[in-house]
Amino acid sequence: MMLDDITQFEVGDQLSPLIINKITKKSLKRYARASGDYNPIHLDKDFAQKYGLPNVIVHGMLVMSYLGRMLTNTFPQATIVDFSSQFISMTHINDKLSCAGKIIKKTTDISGNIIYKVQLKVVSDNNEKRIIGKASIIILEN
Amino acid sequence: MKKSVLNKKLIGKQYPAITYKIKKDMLVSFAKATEQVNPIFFDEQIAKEKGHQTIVAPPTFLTVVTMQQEKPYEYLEKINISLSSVLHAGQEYSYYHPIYAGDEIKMKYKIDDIYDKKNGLITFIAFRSKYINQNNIKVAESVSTLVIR
Repeated sequence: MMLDDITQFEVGDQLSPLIINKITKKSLKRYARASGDYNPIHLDKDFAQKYGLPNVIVHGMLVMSYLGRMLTNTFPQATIVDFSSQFISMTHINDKLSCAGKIIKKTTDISGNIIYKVQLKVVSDNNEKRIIGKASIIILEN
Repeated sequence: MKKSVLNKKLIGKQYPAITYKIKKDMLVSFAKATEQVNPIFFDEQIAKEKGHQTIVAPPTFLTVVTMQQEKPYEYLEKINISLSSVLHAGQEYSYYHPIYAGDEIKMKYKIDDIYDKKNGLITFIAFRSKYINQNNIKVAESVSTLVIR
């Protein structure tokens, strides 16, 4: 569901989801350059295999960034007061991911400010949870 | 019960503060790498039209502050943790003030917690960071948790 008026969400509503079709080695190189995270476990297949992995794994923070993108697609950046992720399983090259969010609590304080608690998750196409997360959103009454 | 690989006396250990200037092109390349579609994260003119003073840092951008250092993993080496033995287990952010291109961010960080799970088989270490801008405003706080394999 995509709402123009972000004050109108109710408990149980889903945010507009975000699908990441494919994460390639190129995506990881680009993220390494942009973030400065050159940990070889994300870039060097031989290194990754030495640690028992089939191939390089995706930076957790890149996956969390996709989740953040889903959040800012709906809520203006300034309304996000906290945002957290638990990295549940490793994200692999060529994974297809879906990022989802659901309103689990809505409160309105005495000044009319709206506070949402949002439950977040990133799931792979074979239905493994990659991230579970949460965010709090405050929409100030003008 | 297996003894923790890390001494719990390290809890509370402070690291020297890091200062990081957010350059506009850093935000642009971070936005590209995370495939942002909202132009406030990479287009200065549109960001201004939308009421921002300039390009806005997206929610996970602060992760680059430690990574952009000359020796990004020194904070682990100092406590004898090798990079190959850790995985990122969790990340939390609290946001207090917008972060923009041009900001000079001072990051103060410390070891917040060390704890075991599964009867000491897995150890977690959590780092807490505070980010303060050039106007001495606290812009954000984060907790980054690593699991030691």
